[in-house]
Amino acid sequence: MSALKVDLLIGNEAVATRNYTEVRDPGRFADVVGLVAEAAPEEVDQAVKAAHAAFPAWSATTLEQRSARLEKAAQLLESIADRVAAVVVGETGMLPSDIKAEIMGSAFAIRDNIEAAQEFLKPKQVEDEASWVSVEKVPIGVIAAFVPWNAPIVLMIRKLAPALVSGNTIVIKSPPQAPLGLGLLLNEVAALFPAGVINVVHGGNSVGQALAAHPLIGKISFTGGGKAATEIMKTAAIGIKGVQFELGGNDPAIVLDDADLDRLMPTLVAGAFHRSGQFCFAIKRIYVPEAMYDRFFERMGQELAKVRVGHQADARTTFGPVNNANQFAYVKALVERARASGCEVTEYGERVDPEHWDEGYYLRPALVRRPNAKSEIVTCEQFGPVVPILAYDTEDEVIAMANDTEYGLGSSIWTSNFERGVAVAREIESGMTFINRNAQSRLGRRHMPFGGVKQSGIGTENSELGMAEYVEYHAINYHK
Amino acid sequence: MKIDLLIDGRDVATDSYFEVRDPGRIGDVVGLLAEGTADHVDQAVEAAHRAFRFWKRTSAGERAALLMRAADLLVKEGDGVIELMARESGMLLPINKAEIAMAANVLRDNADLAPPFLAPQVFEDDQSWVGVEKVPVGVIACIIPWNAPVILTMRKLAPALACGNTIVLKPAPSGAMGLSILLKKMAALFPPGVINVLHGGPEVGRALSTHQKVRKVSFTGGGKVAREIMRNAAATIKGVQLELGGNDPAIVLEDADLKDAVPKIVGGVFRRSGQFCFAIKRLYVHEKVYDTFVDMMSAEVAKFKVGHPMDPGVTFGPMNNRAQFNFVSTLLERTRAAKADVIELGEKLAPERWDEGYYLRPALVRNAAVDLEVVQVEQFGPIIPVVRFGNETDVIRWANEGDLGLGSSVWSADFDRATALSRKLEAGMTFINNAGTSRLGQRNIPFGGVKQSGIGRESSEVGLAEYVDYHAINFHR
Repeated sequence: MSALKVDLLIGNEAVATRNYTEVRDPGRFADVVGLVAEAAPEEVDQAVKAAHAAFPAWSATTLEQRSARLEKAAQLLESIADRVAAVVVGETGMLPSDIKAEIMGSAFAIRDNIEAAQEFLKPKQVEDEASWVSVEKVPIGVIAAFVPWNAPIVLMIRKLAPALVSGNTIVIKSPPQAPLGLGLLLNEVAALFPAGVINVVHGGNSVGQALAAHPLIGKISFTGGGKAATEIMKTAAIGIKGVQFELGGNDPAIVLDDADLDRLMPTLVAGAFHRSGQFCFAIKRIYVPEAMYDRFFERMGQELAKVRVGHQADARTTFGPVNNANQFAYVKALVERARASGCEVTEYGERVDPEHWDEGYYLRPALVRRPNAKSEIVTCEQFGPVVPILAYDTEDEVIAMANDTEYGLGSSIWTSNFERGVAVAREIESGMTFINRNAQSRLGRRHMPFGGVKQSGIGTENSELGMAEYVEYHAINYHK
Repeated sequence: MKIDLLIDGRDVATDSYFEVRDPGRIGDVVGLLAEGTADHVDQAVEAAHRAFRFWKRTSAGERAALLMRAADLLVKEGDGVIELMARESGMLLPINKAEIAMAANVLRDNADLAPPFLAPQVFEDDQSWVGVEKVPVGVIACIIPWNAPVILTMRKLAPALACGNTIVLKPAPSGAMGLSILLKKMAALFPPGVINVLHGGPEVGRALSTHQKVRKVSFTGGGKVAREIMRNAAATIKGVQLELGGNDPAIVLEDADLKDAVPKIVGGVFRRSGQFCFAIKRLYVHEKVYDTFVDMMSAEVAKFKVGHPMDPGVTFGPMNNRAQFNFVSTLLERTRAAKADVIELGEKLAPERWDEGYYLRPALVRNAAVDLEVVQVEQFGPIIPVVRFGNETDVIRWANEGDLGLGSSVWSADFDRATALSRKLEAGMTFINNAGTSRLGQRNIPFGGVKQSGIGRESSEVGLAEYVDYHAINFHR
């Protein structure tokens, strides 16, 4: 079988480069999933110039025209989901069912943006006897979009859809650990749009740096880690470029004493361990009432014991590897340090293929019993399958512990009482609080601004509020 | 006159004080201004952070009512500081008076707009309930320029407080005293720590924009400082709202009513001696009316009487500070050296004392070439290039050249033509047949610029949105 090879995409042309990087399967290192082109700074420049050249015509199209093209893109995503998913599964280590759902969800994200744009982009006009005022929303220009590896398709679409529907053009930088499926998908999506509206560059830090620093970039939208975000913001400062950041979290789950554990435990486990814990709003720490602690711990252990850890494409597997060597080493070392500091760490689940265990970045899900509230495993963002469970006595105490962090992305409350859940939610310093399921409902995906407070981000994504990140205001004031 | 810091509702003296000098009579010390340190910044931010815990729990209605009282206080106390403001900043008394009245309107507009703006959105279906709530960000650092300090402060203070944030303000040293007196009185209406005021140089600014507990920085001023602030903010992922300079074009079409337009254009160029962010910085006049326009404008500008703001009859004050005076003076020299046709107009009110202040007469650059430095840069002073154009395609291209995009104006008798042209300008704001916002515009226009003229907006609901975070709550049934 000839190796899959993904080029850059500039002005709707596949652009080959001097160097190609092998992308390997994190569940079976020996397997090369494909080759990805590595951009040089000149190619980043070409991509931005192509997007800039496409901007005048694209921004002059009607909302109706842009909406129609995006609807076609949504349909295309649905029709090629299986083909793209196979590649994304290979490069990310995520389960096929998750990736398929991600791509289908991405099609909905496109439609949600089309729907939101219809009212949002209308000008607001007011008039009195002295003057007429029209506040119009205009596109910014060329958007640089940085996409992470953990859910590359949906996190890319969350930028592409609002950017394009409001009349911007885009240059997307793929994640080096998962560029292939994204590249394949965008080759086909871009063909639905005029050349230069969608451009894709691949590569590492130097490519990101060249993109963020390019003078023709109007705004940077980045999903990823805080350290890279700081670097991007410093670079953006030179050109006074706006930034929208969706960064990490250390999301607390607060179990109230009236929570129905039998009903909630499967979804709570998913909220922490879905994608092997590798998603930004995964539950990163769990707080349980002292009186319920042992029962909770045991019940969660029982649920985790059902997990089968193995290669993501193996039909028997319910829990895939972590995505890359850095993350694997980080989580392993974190668990070792937790153990060394006296924490009791229990691993759960079954190895699907024990003899091939060392051929991938496999980790079994683990729980940490009663760590100190200030310990590293509680205060850091692990981004992997190990979760600390802490006990608390009073609501005030647990709220203080939940808020004792520089992060503030998501959070969750688990309770049988709606009013009580909402009241506790309002005390949590975070951008999002989920009650009784650590995920957005379908209604939530359409209407919730997705993002964090404190150092979990700047700005937001999704809904009309996220779309506001992709427009400038042009106010026209006519004096009578 | 001695101005201390204001931290947690108390006056805080410092080890050293700056002399604030009258830019119209450099020998005169107007007063002394406390010079804060990084320690003071920490104290002020901690005070604001403590106050935030209970201030954020007050209702939007309570906060709006306090802002209304603050507006009344400004109106009542304003006349008491307009002379001090004139002496420290060089701005004219009627300008300061009008600024304070507008600042009171800013407080009232925000008090009106905030409660409905802050109401949560709720969605519900058979599977789930979604509440999208707007919550305050935390401690906001507000860095204020010298050129219109009271209104530019209120554009930050009013929405920040209305949304439940607390603030630490740092005025510019050459426009701090009158403002600080008003702020001290205003702060007394609010719980201690809600409004804190610091003074000092770059060290204070740096400590403020890097402080861990400051969650957002709102800055009005120049691009160079803005870049520093944004770099500082990056380390702790703080949001920034930046309202920076402009090189605002005014486009005079051949059908403009010149009799009405010229006095307004002259005001739009030369008010505050050209020292305001959305001043007209370059004029493009259609060739059919060019000569007439220049004659009418020259006649109008010639009426200015340049002198000390406290002298009777003066209609045009000095530059605010040495750096700005030097910049504009040398720009004027370079413009002359480039063989441009520069005329200085206006009368020196007290010629014998001319060198005692940062005085410049208003100047026009006639038949200015499009690539002349004074056309390309933001002068922020009383020299205006007047460029001739023949067709709209050219003038739109010229207007959109450059990295700035704050305001702009179009002058025409034809509403449809003017709005169509406006839409082709890369600017945050376009004024038609005037050089600023109408009263309706002040309330409804998101004030700010595109490209390198800024990030984010001030005023209106869009400006309020700078001072909230979203907290979305999703209940699954």
